[in-house]
Amino acid sequence: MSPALRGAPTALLGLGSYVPSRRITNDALVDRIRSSDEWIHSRSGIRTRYWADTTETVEFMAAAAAERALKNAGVAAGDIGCVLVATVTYLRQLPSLAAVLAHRLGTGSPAAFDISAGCAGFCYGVSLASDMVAAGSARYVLVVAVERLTDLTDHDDRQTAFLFGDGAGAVVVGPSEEPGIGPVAWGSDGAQRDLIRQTVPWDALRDDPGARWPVITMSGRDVFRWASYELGPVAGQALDRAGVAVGDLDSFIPHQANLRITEQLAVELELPDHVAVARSIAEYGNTSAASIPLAMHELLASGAARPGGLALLLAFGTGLVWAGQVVRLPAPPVDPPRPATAPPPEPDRGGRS
Amino acid sequence: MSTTGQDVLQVLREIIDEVAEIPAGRIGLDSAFVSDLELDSLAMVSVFVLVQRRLGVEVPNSVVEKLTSVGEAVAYLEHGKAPV
Repeated sequence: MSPALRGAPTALLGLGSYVPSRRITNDALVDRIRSSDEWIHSRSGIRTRYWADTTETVEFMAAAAAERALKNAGVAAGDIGCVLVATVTYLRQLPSLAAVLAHRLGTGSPAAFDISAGCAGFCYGVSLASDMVAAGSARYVLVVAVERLTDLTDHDDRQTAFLFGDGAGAVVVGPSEEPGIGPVAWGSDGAQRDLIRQTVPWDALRDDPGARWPVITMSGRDVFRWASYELGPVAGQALDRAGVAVGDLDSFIPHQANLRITEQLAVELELPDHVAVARSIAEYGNTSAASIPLAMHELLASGAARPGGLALLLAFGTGLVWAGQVVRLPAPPVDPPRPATAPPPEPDRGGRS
Repeated sequence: MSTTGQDVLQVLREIIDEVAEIPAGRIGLDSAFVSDLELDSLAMVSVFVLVQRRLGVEVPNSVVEKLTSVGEAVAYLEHGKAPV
């Protein structure tokens, strides 16, 4: 067991992910946005990303990741006391995806709700789940992060068209004798609300006959600047609250927003060489809330991160909102993250979104 | 500001070397950020984030946009004078 962690008597018990079937290289995008593989890679670190096919709906991907997490945790669906879904790309206002998912998974009648915390959604979800388990509100909580960002991507925008990928990740949070989830360091700053946002609200589609389908727009340079100044101190708070020094860490798993932000943080935090750093953006692009569980899966499956090792999670996103915490990594899933060989043949029963 | 032009230049050289791996010897007052040093807009942000940490001077993005050469950056950091 690695160094002690100050936190709740809760832990990540199992992890699962879903990577959709369409592998998209930079070269497949560059003509439309008048760019190049070299430019995209140097600016973001991205080489490929995976896009969902029509039948790989948000519900389908969420269910696939959740089933794998339950299996890896050895927890039966019927024992889940709460299902919590972090997403900003479920295009149905009601009911929540969590309620639909809980039914689909064959759980009993757990509490179920969605949370909107953008790319920080997974860290927010883990924090809520840990608090619920520690308080006795639920014994096991299923936290699912899923995004189908391609539905809200402006495929002609040179700044963002190459950035986003689709996918899902899930964990089961439950009780543990050893503390396995540190206190969260989190916050928000609505003064920065325009930095990453949906171009127009849904009612624009009703009220303005000329309205274009909403997409995600982002002031990349301002976000980069904000992250450069603000994330290091959030990481420091998360470590302090957990009573963990950087040298105690086994891995650093930041939201995969941009490789340069990750590299800057690794330098700023003075991470020792033995700390594995997640750089899965190269393969998966920015998958918003799903990026941390996907990156965790990849690090564990490759052997770079150790089960039981301490990982610093750190995320930020639209709002702006942010969250970071130290967690003890679960056992690796049986299989590495592997793109689906094919989408499901039939339209998913949950509909397109 | 107590730092001299030479000090500021030296700090900038070290930061640019750190951000873009350009040897200090290749960086002079007349080096242009884009055409000579090939810094893109994110690298420029990184440079001025480190400037803020080391020299305590915050350079807003609106000013960063106007600074085209190392000499202009030194002038701004020393005298607060941004190119028009």
